[in-house]
Amino acid sequence: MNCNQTREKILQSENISKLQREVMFHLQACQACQAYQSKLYKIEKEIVQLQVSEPLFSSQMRLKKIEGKLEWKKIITSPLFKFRRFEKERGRQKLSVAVALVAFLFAVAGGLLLIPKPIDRESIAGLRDYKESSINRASSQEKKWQTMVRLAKEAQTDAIAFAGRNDAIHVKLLADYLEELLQKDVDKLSSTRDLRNQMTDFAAELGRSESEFQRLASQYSYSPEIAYSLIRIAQVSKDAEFRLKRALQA
Amino acid sequence: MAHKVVKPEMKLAIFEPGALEPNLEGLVKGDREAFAQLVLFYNEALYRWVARLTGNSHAAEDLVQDTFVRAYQAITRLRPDTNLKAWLFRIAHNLYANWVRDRKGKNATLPTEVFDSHSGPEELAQENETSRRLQQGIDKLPEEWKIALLLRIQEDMAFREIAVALGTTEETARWRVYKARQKLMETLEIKQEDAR
Repeated sequence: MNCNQTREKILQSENISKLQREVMFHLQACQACQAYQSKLYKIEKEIVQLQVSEPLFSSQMRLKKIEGKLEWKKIITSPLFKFRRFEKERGRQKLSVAVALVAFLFAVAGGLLLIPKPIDRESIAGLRDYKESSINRASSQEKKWQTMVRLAKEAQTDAIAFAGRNDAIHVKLLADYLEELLQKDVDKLSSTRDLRNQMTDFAAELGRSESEFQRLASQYSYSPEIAYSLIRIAQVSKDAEFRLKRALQA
Repeated sequence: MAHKVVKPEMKLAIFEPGALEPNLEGLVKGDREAFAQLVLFYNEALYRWVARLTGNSHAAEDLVQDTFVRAYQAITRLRPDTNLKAWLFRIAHNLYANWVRDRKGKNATLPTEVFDSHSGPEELAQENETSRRLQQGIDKLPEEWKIALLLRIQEDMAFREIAVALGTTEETARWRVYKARQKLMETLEIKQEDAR
């Protein structure tokens, strides 16, 4: 055991006067470590002897003071009071459990309602479900139009992304979906006078989409399937724009 | 010539003279006599430790008083294997921690008292210098190390008891005492060199 290890052992020991045998062996042969142990011992002895200010009360006095305080507490906690407090506490406990339970149920129910269902973008049926639920959730005609615009934009953006990945199957799927959305569903929506502004905006949006998808289709001459699907999207956009404008004129 | 290895005879854990060791069984039953024994037996040790930590006798008095009141309120929760001393010091430690937190919140400072000594003028000067250096060294220790060190040295508590009192593990208690000793040795070594 070297000096460092010995000193570590001294510092770690519970009682520095009762050291392990190997530490003692080292100490007998090493003056520096002996001096180290002596110094620590001296420090600890001095700590014990450090003066502390005299207590303000003797132990007997303290006992009387504490008993006085506890007598007071005893009066407060008479059996009847204790019983009442127990009843009260039990009532509070029951109430807090009930509140916690109701809060939990609300949280679960709210969570179930708020958690959006994952969208199945792999089949026309999945996209149709998503579309139906989105339109049905819209509480007014105005909101239904807003939903329609959002759904069309989402599908168009997806179609552009899939075309970029040369995924002809998904572009075709989205073309089918947009066809249904912009032909059947747009016609089902009410076209009253107060919705005029929204219909006008949507028509303009569709006009821009038509030219964008035509331009995009020309870039996919190497993939006729993708180009064909993009042209279909452009055409359904154009048709929808035309029907909207006609409805507006009427 | 080799130095003689020190065999210390330190006076540790001074209790009230004549105080009987408290009876745990009586305490659990709510026996007032047993509680009185508990107060008389541990009053001085608790006061000494808390006064050293707070550096203020009034604060120490209040904390010791509250410790016994809290102990009385929790007495029925004692178990046959409870270490009474560690349990009491644990209550005191919690109260002390609250006291420190409150003071930090209020940003209050208490004057550290100069403790009494019964030595003559020359001895007193020497003693005061040594005590001052030592007190400074202790004050510079991180709070948790200081608390553990004082429990070990001043109250002669085993690491196992310190662990119970501080709500930690025996190894942590050992490590804190080890670090406190190491730091104290370093600090006092430097101070002595400065003095030369």
